[in-house]
Amino acid sequence: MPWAKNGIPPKSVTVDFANKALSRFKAREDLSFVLREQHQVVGTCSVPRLAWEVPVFEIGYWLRASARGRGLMTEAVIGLRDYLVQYCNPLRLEIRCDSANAASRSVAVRTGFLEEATIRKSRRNNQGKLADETIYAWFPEEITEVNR
Amino acid sequence: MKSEQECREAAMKLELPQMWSTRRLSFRIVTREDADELYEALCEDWTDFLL
Repeated sequence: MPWAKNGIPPKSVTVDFANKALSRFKAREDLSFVLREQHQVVGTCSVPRLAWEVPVFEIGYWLRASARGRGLMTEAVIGLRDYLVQYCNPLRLEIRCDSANAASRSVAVRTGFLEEATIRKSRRNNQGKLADETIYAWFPEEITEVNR
Repeated sequence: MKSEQECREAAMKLELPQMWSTRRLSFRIVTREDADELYEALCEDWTDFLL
């Protein structure tokens, strides 16, 4: 996530993001969903990049620490993947994550995305350090029983 | 071929649900009312959350 650099951002960044999310949804510039489990916010699952002319969409996510280890983000990504298939007719979906983030990569694999490439030294991680990015892709025609 | 702008304008006519649920999770478009809770969740463990 582009805002997740150089340590924790000031609260104003989150407030600005929240203030603009609905208008950006209506403009189809990004689709950002807050995730709740029994009313508690556990994270977000979003589509930060929409190339409608292809159409290709990128799925992004984060999960609060106390909610990890129970498959919630896997459930969320499958939910958003199916939403996009039902309503947006994608040709291709992508997940791009820090190559060193094993948990994030694991979500991509568990939701049926296939690793395509690693782009070296192409992003900053949330500590502000230079990092590699791994790209995963999923195609609607590749739906199998495994990734339903 | 349609331009990027034309494609996005066509997409704006799609009826996209703003909320739905899976087995354990509810999804809803982020609004300004979510800011405090999002920030609290974000701060819980900044060093190790999913990116």
